[in-house]
Amino acid sequence: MQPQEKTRHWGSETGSLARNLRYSISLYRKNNLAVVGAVILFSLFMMAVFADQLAPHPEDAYISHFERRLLPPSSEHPFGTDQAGRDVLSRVIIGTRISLPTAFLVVLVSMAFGMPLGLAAGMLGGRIESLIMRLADIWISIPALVFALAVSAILGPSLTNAVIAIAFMAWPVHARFIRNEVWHIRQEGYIEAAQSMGAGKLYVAVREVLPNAFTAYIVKITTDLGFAILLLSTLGFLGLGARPPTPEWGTIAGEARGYLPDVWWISIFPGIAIFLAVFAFNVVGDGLRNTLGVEEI
Amino acid sequence: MRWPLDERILEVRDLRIQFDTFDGIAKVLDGITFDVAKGEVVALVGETGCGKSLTAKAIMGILPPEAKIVTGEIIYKGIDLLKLKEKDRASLRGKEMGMIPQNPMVSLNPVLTVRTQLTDLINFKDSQDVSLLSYYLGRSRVAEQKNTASEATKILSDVALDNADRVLESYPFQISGGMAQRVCIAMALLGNPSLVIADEPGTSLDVTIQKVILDLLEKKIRERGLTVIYITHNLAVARRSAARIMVMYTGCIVEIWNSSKIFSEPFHPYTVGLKKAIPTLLGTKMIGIPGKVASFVNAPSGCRFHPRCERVMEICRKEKPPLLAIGEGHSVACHLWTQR
Amino acid sequence: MTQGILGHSSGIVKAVDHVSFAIERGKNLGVVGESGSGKTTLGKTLMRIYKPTGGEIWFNGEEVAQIEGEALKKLRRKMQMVFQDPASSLNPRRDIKGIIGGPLEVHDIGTRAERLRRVKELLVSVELSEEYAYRVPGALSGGEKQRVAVARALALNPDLVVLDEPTSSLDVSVQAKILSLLQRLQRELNLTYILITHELSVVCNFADRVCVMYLGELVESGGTTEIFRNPLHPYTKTLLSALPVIYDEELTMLPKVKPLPDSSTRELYASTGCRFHTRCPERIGEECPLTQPTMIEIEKGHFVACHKYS
Repeated sequence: MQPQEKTRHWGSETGSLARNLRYSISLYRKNNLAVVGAVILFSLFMMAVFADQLAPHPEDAYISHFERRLLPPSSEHPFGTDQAGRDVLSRVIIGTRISLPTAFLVVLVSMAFGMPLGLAAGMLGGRIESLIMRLADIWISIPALVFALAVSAILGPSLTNAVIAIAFMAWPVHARFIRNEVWHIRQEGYIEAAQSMGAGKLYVAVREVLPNAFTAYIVKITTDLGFAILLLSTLGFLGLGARPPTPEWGTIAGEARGYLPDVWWISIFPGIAIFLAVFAFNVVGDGLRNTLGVEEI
Repeated sequence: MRWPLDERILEVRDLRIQFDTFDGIAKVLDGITFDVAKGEVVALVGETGCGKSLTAKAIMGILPPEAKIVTGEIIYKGIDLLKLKEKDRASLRGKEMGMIPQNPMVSLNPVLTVRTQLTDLINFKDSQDVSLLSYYLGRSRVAEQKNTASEATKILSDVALDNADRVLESYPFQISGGMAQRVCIAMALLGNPSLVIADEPGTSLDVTIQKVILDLLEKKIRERGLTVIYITHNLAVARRSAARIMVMYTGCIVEIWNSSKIFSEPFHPYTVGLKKAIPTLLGTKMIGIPGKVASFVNAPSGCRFHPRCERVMEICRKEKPPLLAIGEGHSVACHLWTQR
Repeated sequence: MTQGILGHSSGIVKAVDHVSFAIERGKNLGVVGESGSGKTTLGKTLMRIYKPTGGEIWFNGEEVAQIEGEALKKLRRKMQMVFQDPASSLNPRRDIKGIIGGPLEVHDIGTRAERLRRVKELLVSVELSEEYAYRVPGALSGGEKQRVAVARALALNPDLVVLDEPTSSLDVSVQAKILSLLQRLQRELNLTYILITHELSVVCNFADRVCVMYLGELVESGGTTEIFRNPLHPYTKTLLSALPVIYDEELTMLPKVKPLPDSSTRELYASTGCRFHTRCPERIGEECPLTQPTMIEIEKGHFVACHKYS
């Protein structure tokens, strides 16, 4: 058995919080795409917060002006107007207020179901674990979109029902992920140490295992957010999610699809917004993986 | 002590290597200078992180890409290795210089059998830049296969692996640590090198197996007249395996002397500290060295050991003591000598 | 603590088989063996991390081999362990005060403020400054991490501390400091140690009694000086002769035995007979592969399990 002091890490040993933060940021910045993604996300977030100030025609979220319908992009309406005369740019900006919080909500709900189940499965093992995992297996084999369609058909299309549908579908992935992380973490020495001091399963799960599972989990959540936006906008496009006149990106694009390809601006611009959001989330998730995956300080 | 010119097989002169880290420049090797004579067995000894493995890698030419050689010379048989092109340097590896790696189990390719790894070495040791095509062509030539197969068995029995056939057929995870170590030794000696660097031999093995490995190495060294540099943190292993010991601390060589004398009469305070810390069977009390190992990023000024030294003087903080000869085969880098 | 017979078998492998020993309060026991000897398993079984499949463990006059639940939790306060690799035995995502305070949290001792105070006390007792409480393990050196592990083990004021290779991953100068720290704490807190290690030279300076294990079996046990001066079991002799030593005077103290062939495969878990017989340089005959030797007392306190002596 050989000494295992830091051999390859020739750096400093103070490890203060400020220094670690700076180090993490510098690691993150090495990935250019991730930085771009972070900028995009920040901009989208700012748009959601300051939508009223940024949108040139904020009232157009819901009010129609039929005299200016279907105008192509111009200096007054950079994204043109839609079939009800509403400024597309404003609707896209206001759309951040719909898409972003809803995506977070979806992921939060999946986490609320999936994480405790995965934790229980990983910590308790035996029959409980088998039960939960088999349940998850069955759930995953149902295609998300089909399920969402079914929910809309039964409960009626709305944003709330879309959230329910997607969140409901997503919990098994979270459960499985957490269970796998728990399995790995349980091999570690400090888990044994905790057990040897008399810690019960709950203490070990919450105080020892979970904080370590979180690094990988955060990366997954970030990518999940991108997925949620995609799914939400798909449902909206199909008319099964947010109903018009809600300015959800997918809904905006879907409403106007009959006008394609001549009147392209109503569908394309929200589509670009969706693309940017999903891309940004994925790429930030990637960047975070590199930053957080680093063990040394 | 300087050996006469033609007896020196390796000379390292003022080697300085640094790394760019987030916290600043880490000056890891700070002027390493030593000689090794032909046929000598020396040990480079130091605690973890002192830079001894890095020195070995510098000699072999397998430094990590982040390492920057600031200055220095590594002269092997009269040629400065640091001035060579990588191509020429690579041709020396294996044929002139061999390295026995630290952890044999991870140094063998886990998805290839021992036979494949050995025969590949045998077949291609003399070629430069083997292309993929010639590799597969070479592998399928049956006539050569027969020769190399018997050579492989011979090589393995040379390192006292009697059940050679069984070992050849195995994957690395199927053989024990001791056997893997012997395979690595065999691979290192395949090219008939003159200089062998053994990186922590036996550290990952049980003590009874370690003894077997060290005895085997001794035998091979005698048989082939090899020059060997042992890299180790285990002072007792260094004492028993090497004739001369070089003690390193935070990137500097602090003392060089014969292994039979250095621990009985150490001069440098660090060596003295090590001596006092070693557990013995004689009931001596184990006393540690106060303080922590110095960081490379903001290394102490002057002598790097001065913050922990019992006999520190003003000059130690200001000037780094040079490595000077103080007796027959005995050199020390300490102001206790320069200021005597 | 008195002795018992302890066996633990999981499936086919008998990790620890028929081990018996005793240690008195305030004294130290060294458990020596190489990889696969079962010494770590023994330590963890004593700590009830594993449950023994057979045998008895007597601790402070109570038999504790099979207890569970609340009784087990109470027992845990009296015996603690310092684990082998400090890097992995400390949770990298917790700070030092959380790590050392963990045992206190688990047993609901004190308020938050009281726990923090105790953590700082413990840090000082392991020779680290109080501000270490706010650091993370990643910022600590190996020696410092191990001190934190010791502090954690002492948080509940145990009587017995099992040390599993506490210094194997440390450099020699740090090792000396950790060992002297442990000895000082032993005097101050009247602790009893069980030191599990493969390094004989450390055991020689630290333990009062030694047990030598090979492949799950106890082959020899006795007072430290006795075992070093007069090793009886062939494995003990081999172990000693393989020890690299610095001083020639030490060399003369060691037996000289021919080095052993490798234990090449797991089939050496011989189901019958002495587990050492395939590698033993002093095999005497048909007895060795057939029956397992039992422990016999050769001199007062010096036990051996070998057919040579029965």
